[in-house]
Amino acid sequence: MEDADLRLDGNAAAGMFGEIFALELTSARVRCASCGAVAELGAEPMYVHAPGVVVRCRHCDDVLIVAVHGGGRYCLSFSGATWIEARES
Amino acid sequence: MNTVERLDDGEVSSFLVGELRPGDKLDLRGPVGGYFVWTVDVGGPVLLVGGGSGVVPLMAMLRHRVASGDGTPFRLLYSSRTFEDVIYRDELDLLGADDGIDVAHTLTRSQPDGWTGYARRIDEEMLREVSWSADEQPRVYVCGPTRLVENVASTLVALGHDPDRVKTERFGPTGG
Repeated sequence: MEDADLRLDGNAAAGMFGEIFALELTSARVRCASCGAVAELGAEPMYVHAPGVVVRCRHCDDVLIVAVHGGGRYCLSFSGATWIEARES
Repeated sequence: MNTVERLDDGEVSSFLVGELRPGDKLDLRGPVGGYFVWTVDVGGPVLLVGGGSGVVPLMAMLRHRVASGDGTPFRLLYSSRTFEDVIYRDELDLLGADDGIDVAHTLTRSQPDGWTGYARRIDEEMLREVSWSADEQPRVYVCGPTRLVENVASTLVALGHDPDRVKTERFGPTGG
């Protein structure tokens, strides 16, 4: 299976992020901590075949967000994102 | 209204298509996601490109346009394997009769006798024929399997469309 077959996008995490956050995140803008590119989360490539979901920067491919759900808890890393800007609902 | 395509190795879709019976109770959550969404205030013209069951969110946009009485011009390019695989065939025929809505089909695997639509995978020539030019700044929504989505999006960007106006939603057999 090739990389393209494994790649989805941030929209595929709408349900999980909807569980965790009060604000809608797929339309939120994210700034990559590595290259500075800004894009909406729904436009970023996302991989769901890891133990959790991994969202990468569509420009430099570095990791933006990792979210793991299991054992009754969520574990989230946003260290690849400088900031996230979400609209008020 | 919900549309479900059964995937052979899909846990949820095979249950919904094969096991669920009228009268069964379901808890539904959502709608979720605000990125791959068209509302009247987004404007247009609007180009929709769908592959297989990727047409489902695009149909929601078409229905929203009709229900809101809005006149934004829409064009849909919809790729299916065979004529029998075309979801919403009758509804799309009706919608395509609207002055402001054009529906173009391509059938990639087999075509019925007398088929007058496209008969190949979506390519640059097809997109040139169906889409508004980049100068007209259409809002574009592409939904389907990852390869189709990425091929269509990169072709449109190569034709001069602003990447920020080309919204995509990829799905795969194990999509969350």
